[in-house]
Amino acid sequence: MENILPFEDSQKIIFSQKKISIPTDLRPMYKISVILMMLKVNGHSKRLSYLQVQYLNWLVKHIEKVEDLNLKNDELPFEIIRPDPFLDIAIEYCIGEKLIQLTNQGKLELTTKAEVFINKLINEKLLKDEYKVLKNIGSRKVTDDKIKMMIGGN
Amino acid sequence: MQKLTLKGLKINISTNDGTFGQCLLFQKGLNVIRAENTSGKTTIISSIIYALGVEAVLSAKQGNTVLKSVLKEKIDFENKTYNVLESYVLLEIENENKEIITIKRQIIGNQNSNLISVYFGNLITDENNQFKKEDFFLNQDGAAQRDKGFHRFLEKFMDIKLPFVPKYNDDKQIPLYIQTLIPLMFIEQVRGWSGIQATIPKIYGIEAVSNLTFEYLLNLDVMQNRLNRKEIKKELDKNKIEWNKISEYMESITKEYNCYLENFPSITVELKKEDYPNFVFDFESKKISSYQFLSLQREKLEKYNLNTTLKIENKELQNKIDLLNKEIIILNGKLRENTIELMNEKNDLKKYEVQISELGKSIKNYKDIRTIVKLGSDEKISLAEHKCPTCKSTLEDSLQKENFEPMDLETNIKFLESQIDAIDILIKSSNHRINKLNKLENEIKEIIKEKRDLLSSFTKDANYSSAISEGTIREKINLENEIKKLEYLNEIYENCIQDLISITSLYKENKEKLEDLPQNDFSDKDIEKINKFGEQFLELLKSYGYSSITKIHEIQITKNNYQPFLDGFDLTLESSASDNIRIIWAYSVALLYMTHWYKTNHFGFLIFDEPEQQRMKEASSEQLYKTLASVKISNMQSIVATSEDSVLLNQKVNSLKANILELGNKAIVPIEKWLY
Repeated sequence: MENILPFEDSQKIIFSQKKISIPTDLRPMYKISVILMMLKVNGHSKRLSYLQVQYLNWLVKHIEKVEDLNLKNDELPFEIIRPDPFLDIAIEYCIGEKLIQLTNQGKLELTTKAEVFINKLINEKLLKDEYKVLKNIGSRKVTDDKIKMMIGGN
Repeated sequence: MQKLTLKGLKINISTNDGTFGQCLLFQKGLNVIRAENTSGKTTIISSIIYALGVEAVLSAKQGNTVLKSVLKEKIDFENKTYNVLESYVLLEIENENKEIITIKRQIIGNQNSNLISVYFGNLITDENNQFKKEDFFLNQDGAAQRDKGFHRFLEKFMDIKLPFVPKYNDDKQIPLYIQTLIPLMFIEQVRGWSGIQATIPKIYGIEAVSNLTFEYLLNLDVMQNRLNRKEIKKELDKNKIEWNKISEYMESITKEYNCYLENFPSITVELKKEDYPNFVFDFESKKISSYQFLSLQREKLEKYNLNTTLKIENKELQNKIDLLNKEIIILNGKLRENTIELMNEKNDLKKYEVQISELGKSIKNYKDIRTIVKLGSDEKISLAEHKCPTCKSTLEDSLQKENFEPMDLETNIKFLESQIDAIDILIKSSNHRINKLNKLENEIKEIIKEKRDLLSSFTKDANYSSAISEGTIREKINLENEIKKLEYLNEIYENCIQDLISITSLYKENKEKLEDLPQNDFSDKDIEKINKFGEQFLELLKSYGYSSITKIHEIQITKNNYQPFLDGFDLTLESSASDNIRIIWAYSVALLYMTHWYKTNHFGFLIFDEPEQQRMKEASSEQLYKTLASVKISNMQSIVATSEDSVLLNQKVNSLKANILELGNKAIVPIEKWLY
């Protein structure tokens, strides 16, 4: 008689969880690189506030939409942003790796170690698209007040 | 005759103070290498294996790593240490046609150890002759398949043909490598005695490799039959696919002609006329075949030709106009359906294209991450090595802390690429459907235009009564076109039927071939051989003093895996340690005995390293020597390496014809102390 199930003769059946594919956005090294890139490109003397980092992260995550927007000189794109919880973890990692230090005013600042790393990255033309978007925004002044005004609506 | 006779072995080791090594000559029949324990017997035996390039049976590693340090680093001899500068091994072998070659393989030295030099002559016994030399390679892709591969050469030299066999989870077929056959002819000192074919290399991924090697060595037909069966089944599947392709093709035609495909049969060995499929048309709420439809249309045309005036009555005219209006409405409905379908398909296509571009971006980013990780490790960023920057414990490569493991970067890239491949296929089929729908749309539009023209002609006829009806002429032209199309359709139909019939005959042929194969794939000759092997095995087992089980005569060799079984249980599970060794003796010797009655693929030699083993001290190996010196295999060769006491050994073999090679305390010695 033919077996009804292909594993009828098996003595043991083992289930194992397959490794899964995750978006690049969740890879720690990616996120760290993007944060450092922001500080390098958009930072005022290589410093950014937490809010600024969240805002810029939102832009990087929606690159294609930013490209579609036809922005006037000093306009900032997006009126709604959502905080990214993974960004917080990545910032913690950066601090742990001594790539970022906190200033007295509570701003995030690029360390020398980080600068060496991020310069190499930019020279190698890695994460080109992200760099382009940040560079493009960099000419506008992304200040805390502006962001607050924009998302606060007043 | 013996396919491969080992004539002599020379191990040559140059040290900082003179040449060391050993040189032995072997004879047909029984050869016994005797030496004390830890004297280096095994070095001698592994050198034979190494020279044949089959060291995979000694260890999963390849090359000279399988050999002892005495051949590679230093030799301790009479309280002095000598450093090894260069070493190689020579093995003189002979084939059935009495052709002699000598294999040279470097152990330490300038020449790559995966390069084997073959000298066409007896280099060991005729050292000074300048023999022709050719180099072959080993342990690389193609060593068994390409002409410059050593094992391919050895295969030709032995005049055997290694079968191609299936791999696990792979459609590719690979040769049954020589390495996999060796464990039936060479029992290694330690692992070799733990079970039948214990040292068979599994690294090649050959499916059911231990069965195949047994079948090949005994030259059983079952192997070929099984392959044939597989091949035939593949052919049958192909027939079915071809069959279905025709069905699909005929189905696709129906849309163009506004008809149906009826009674398409499933594949059979004989296609009868009444089983032919049919193109069917709706005609006046009846179903008729394309042939009937064609003849009806022809009759209609005939009528036009008779009716030379081409005049038409008013009432009939009105009927025609009504009918045409109705037809145009239906056709417009069809056109709309088609347009909607086309739109959906185009939407799908757009979605796929977006997906592809997103996947492309992900892959690009992943490739960047790969480089970033490299840069990161250079900059001592511990996250690049998945370590926590603070406590250095291992982290998953993901910011999301969930109960899953993310793929590593390489796998993730491959995964995304495979997704792109899949979507590419979807895009292709989507494009194909869009083309078809576009074509259909144009066709429907054309028919509508035709009908409209006809309608306007008839309307004109109704308004101005003229001698010749414009509508009728147009109708006649249309009819003529339709007849042409139908003729073409019938031509296609004929061709399809012809194709179906030819597939049927192929299918029948394959089915018959399948039925001709013996059940279970074992030929009568196979059964005879396996039974004979079983008999020999039992006889030998008895003579060796096997005692774990009293009903020895009930032991059988199963056809599932060719292992000895008793009442459905593996015999080795029920036997004592020493009896398990007797089982291996009997199994290997019985295989060699088979060469006496049948033409097998056995290489014709048997090498036992320490067949007594420690736990066998009490067991007498006297019978083993006797069976190995039997006339049945006087044409064959056995080499036994033992550390048995020399007096005892001499007692056991003195009445037998045997070549005793006494090595004493040391196997590897200075050149002046070599046996030959």
